Amino acid sequence: MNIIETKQLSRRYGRTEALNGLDLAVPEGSMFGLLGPNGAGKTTTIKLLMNLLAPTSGTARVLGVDSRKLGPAEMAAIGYVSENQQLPVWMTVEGFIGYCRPLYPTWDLALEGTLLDQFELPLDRKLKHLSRGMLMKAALLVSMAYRPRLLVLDEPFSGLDPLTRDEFVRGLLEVSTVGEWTILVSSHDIEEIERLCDWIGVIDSGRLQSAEATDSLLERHRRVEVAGLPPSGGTRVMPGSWIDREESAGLVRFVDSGYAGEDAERLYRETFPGGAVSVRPMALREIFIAQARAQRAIRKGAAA
Amino acid sequence: MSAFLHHFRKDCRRMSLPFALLLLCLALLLARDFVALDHTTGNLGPLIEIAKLSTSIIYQIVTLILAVGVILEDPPKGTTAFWLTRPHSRRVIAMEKLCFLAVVILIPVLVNLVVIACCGAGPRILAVAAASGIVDRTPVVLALAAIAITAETFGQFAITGILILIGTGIATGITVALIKMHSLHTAGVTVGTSSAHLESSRILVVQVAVAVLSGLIVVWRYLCRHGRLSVAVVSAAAFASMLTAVYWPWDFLSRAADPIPQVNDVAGRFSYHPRLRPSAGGTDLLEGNMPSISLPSGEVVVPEDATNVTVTWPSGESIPEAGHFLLSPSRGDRWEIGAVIAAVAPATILNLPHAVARRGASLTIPVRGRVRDRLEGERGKLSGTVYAAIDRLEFSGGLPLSVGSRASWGIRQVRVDSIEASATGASAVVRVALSEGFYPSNLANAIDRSGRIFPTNFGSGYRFLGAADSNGVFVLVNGRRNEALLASILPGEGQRPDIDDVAGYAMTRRNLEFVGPGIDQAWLEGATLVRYRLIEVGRTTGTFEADDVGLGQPEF
Repeated sequence: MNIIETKQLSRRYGRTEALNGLDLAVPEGSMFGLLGPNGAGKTTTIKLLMNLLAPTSGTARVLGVDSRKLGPAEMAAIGYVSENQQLPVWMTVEGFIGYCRPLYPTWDLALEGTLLDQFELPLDRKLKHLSRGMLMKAALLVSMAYRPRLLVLDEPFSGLDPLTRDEFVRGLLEVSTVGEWTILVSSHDIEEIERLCDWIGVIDSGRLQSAEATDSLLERHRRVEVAGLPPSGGTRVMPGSWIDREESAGLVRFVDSGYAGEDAERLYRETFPGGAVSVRPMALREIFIAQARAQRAIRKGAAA
Repeated sequence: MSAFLHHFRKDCRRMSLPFALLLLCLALLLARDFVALDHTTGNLGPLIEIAKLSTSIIYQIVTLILAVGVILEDPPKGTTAFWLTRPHSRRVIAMEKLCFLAVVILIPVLVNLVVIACCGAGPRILAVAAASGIVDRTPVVLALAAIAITAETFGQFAITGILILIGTGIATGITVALIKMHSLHTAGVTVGTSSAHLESSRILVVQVAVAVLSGLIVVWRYLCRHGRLSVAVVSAAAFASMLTAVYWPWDFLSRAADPIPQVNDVAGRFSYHPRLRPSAGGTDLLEGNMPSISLPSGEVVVPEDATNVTVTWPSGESIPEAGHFLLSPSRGDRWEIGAVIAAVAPATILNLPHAVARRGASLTIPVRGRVRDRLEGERGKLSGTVYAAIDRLEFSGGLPLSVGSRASWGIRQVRVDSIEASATGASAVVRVALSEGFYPSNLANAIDRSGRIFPTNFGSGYRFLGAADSNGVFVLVNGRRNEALLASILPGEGQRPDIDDVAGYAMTRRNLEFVGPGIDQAWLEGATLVRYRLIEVGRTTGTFEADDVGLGQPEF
């Protein structure tokens, strides 16, 4: 079952199309990472899902409810943390937690205690006097202590130093074992997403480029390098799934986005007879960059 | 309900400092008022007034912070507010914000009511004072909230507010220009058309409309989320309010059917707090032991503005080249001897030749030096149109002439501080030093309405209208002898016998001088100090012409 589903979701800001026919499905229980470069439409997507913005067209369903009709009952089952969120910084951490606690009937005092210990938040300090990392942790605490079915994190790592980022991710991973969460996290921090998420959606220019399980994504992407090629008489015909291609004298490099084991390697050898083929797995960062480059090339081609 | 209280408590905690400041300001203002009621401030007067003025300014700022701050704490605008992604009912939030604003409105009103009640005001006055306070304060607070609803931060609020002010100013300018161009003023004298009532009706309509519209905008913006529409509605509402203020046609405050109050009717309404009862031996006004003075008096025409002013010289040259100024008589001078004579009839005024009052307006046409040099000695023709208010004297109260005696009418309290009577030959000079105090708050407005007297300053925003209202004239009347003395102006007070001694606020001290023949101690013992005030009863437009005018001496 999908906890989030969008159909042809679009949003315009004046003449700018921030989101263009997004079809997204987030399976329940997954940790879904929404990856994309700056301006790709990640934050707009999340704002539409959280009913902070109205879609220009299309629909979004969150927890089975149209996002425009999300009410207090649904919000009580959603946690939301964003780098842009305006927290009541005049409150102390304790006051902030005390303010949020009565809002949620499912608030778990034990989990609150666990999170407090884990995040090491100073209870008597005002939010405005907390560091950015601490502030995000406080926001995360009040978004998790009631065990929401869906936790939405919008650029939670932005502006955090590596140590704090690591602590933050580790904290998320630890608490994710406590209950049945679905976590949607948008970021352009690929390493953190790779550590955290078991599903990855890549969004660019307001469109969803891909969305699948992280393992599957890693499995179907390979960096292929063919060396020692004799000069060819003409242009080689290559499948469309071979992206981010680079060719130089005697050397061809590309990313196979549809790697299928030995069948694929046989195809490489057939396409590049006489060349020495090396195939290696890719990190998520490499995949993301390769896909972004491919998209850019397609856009340039279309524009030309 | 618990969610409502939860938010209300949160907002109260957030606004605790401004709330404390608000209460402190109220306490300081009231303390100053009570001091003014019972003591002459002496040399400290200016300092106290400065402190009071500062407190008043802080009070207004704190009100603004409260009204705006509570909205900006959980702004419906934007996508970053914390509450937007929490399980809040929009309806509960909207109601909670409105209730908070109601508290901001009601606290000062309640404090004033308590004070007024302590001063002996009855339930009717309390009710009207409460209504008056609420009507005066609600549109301001809710309008601030309605503007805040279009902003996410104080900075945005300030920019929006400034833009609305500028827009309203431009629209007002255009409206005024249109009115002048099309001469919407009705030509001819319109005595008795209760224009003051109409003006008050318009202001009341605007106040109610602004309050209702602002409240609806606040609720609507919290319930649904059409930001641009809100800005459009706020702007349209501001413009509509302005148009209403100018064009509202129905006078629903007029009480034409009411009988014109006679002196004894008015006297019968006097009420005293025990603290304020006149000293022993004085005439008890409650007994109605007052001279029978008929009302209404004659009308006084007071020019207020002039247009189309032109001076044409034999050479064909016209001035002004740089506008003109019509110096209207001040409120304190807006009375004429003739009106007083009519008012005190059948009593005879003994000191007519001694009474001094500046009358009429002076028209000043500034010209440049070279023009003046060229036209010096020339005689030209002056013409123009004048807009004038028509005022009438109305009896407002009286008190026995003895040191320490006090009287109150409506919110006004007058105390005779000292009497000096010196006989010089056939005439005597009686000097009376008066302290005119007031009850705190906007009760002046309330009394004006409840007392069925024309509300000349309804909704004007004067917090202490009683003292600021200096359009009274004092007459010493001996009812047994059917004789009266007009107050004249003491040297050193210029031509404004009623001018306040400190900055035009709060306590008014007046030195009245009654100079007249045949005044002795026996005459004074039977005298009552009577106060009239001017009220506007109509407006008029007329033209003026003068065939033989010349340039006066230059003024520097």
